[in-house]
Amino acid sequence: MAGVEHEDGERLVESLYPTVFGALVLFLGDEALAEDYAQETMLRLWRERSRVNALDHPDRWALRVAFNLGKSRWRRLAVERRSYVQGSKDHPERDPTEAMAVRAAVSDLPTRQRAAIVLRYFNDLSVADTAQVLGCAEGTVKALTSQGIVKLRQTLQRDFDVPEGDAA
Amino acid sequence: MTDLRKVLHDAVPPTPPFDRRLLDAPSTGGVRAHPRRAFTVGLAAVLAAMLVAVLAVAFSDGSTSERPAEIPSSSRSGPVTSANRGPVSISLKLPSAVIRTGASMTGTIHVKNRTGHAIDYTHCGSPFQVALGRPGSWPRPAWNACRTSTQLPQGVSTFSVTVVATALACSGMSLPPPDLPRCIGEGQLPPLRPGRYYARLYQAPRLGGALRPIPIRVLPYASQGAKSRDGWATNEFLVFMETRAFDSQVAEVRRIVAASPRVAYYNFVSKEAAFAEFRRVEGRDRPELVASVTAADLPASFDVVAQTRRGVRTLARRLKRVPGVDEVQLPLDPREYRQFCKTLNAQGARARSGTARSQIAELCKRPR
Repeated sequence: MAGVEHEDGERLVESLYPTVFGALVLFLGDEALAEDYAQETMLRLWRERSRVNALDHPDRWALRVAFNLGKSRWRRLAVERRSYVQGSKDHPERDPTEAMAVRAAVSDLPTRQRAAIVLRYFNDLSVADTAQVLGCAEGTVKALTSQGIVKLRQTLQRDFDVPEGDAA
Repeated sequence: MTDLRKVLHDAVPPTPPFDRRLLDAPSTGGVRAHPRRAFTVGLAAVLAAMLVAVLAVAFSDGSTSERPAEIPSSSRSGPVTSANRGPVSISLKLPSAVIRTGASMTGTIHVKNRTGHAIDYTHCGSPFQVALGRPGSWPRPAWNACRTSTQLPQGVSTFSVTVVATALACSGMSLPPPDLPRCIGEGQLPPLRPGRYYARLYQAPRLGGALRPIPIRVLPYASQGAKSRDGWATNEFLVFMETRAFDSQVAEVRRIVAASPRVAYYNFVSKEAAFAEFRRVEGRDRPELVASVTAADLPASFDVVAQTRRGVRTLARRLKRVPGVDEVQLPLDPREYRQFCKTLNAQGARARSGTARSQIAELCKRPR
């Protein structure tokens, strides 16, 4: 029984690590921090593996843990991020790569909008699932998402193909 | 029109390999020490730093440019060892390749003397010292002068070494010299930033030559055992001052935090320290960002770890009311947590499996 649990735990860690890492990169805007928190999340998952395994959606549990870990560090980095986007505008001769521009734009979103955008469009969660992870109403998720998309459109100056109802 | 999903996925770098050794690491709960304990550990580390210095002086023949041996790119899980060969050889064994920041572990050193006679070995304090560092920033402790002598008899002698995941020295000055971190709290040694380090034995090249440093992963702080049953609650919270807070307001927060019996540990991050860290982290890759920010733009903050989870809420409520405090950031909003558990419980009630139901109940039960 313990062996099965061990194997299930390993499978869970293997399958969820990339998802959690990617979401944290977008949420925190920092790869090294994202790696640290993704690993910490996996450690917690490992310790709770028997419980998490029995959940219908262990990925939501992991994302919830990851976002809570990331959130406490976010505030300290918020000023840096605002300045970064501002700094990019101050130096138009620097052409950040597409990935950097997208990450900077996502980083510039307020925390809850950012979380909603990442969960909806990076982790492909439904509105209901996102609401569950963020602990808010579905209507709030829709509002956060549409506000986030408007801001992303403005910052990146392009239009996005999003499901009907998400766009403002 | 572009697909937002694709744009976000393209913006994420390839996932780095997961360090599976982490899963085998023993949990070092309660790493955040009581101030008094942390100070003792700090004192020990300062003494260790002096020892390292003297060893280096004693065996470097006047040269201080001691270079580490080649660094291996991978290491095994569980206990890790490094050994050299020669008439006098040394092997270092550490109990784990991972350590929590601020924690310590005790390793073993075996010295095998095959010269046919005893050797006089000059050192300071305990005969060997192992310190964590990484290429480009190996610890360089201050020199001190004391010499004692140990006889290494023929055959195998065993010594124990303590490895601490803190800086070996720190400065109490508001503008510390380069390469020297600022002390935290009341003169405590700051914990190492989580990441990849190498455990390096500082000892005599004449005892068989330099050892290969052992890769060690320094993990972030552990949350406090039983309180983390829900998987994310920790006793840590952050107090952010307003960017324009007066020194007297910062001092008031510090007074409350330092005097509170609820606090297990705290670290003050000044504007200058936040900026120095920011410059260090971002300087190489984003110079334009660093150029656009000054220390005045960053808020000073306190990183506080409470003794209990209840202590977090009480203390946070009190600190929120102090003038000059912009925000107290808790690791988990209890309302959000309740909402999350409500949803989980609703799922659990629908779940056919009794195990699933009981496990959701377990996951969401109130932290003790």
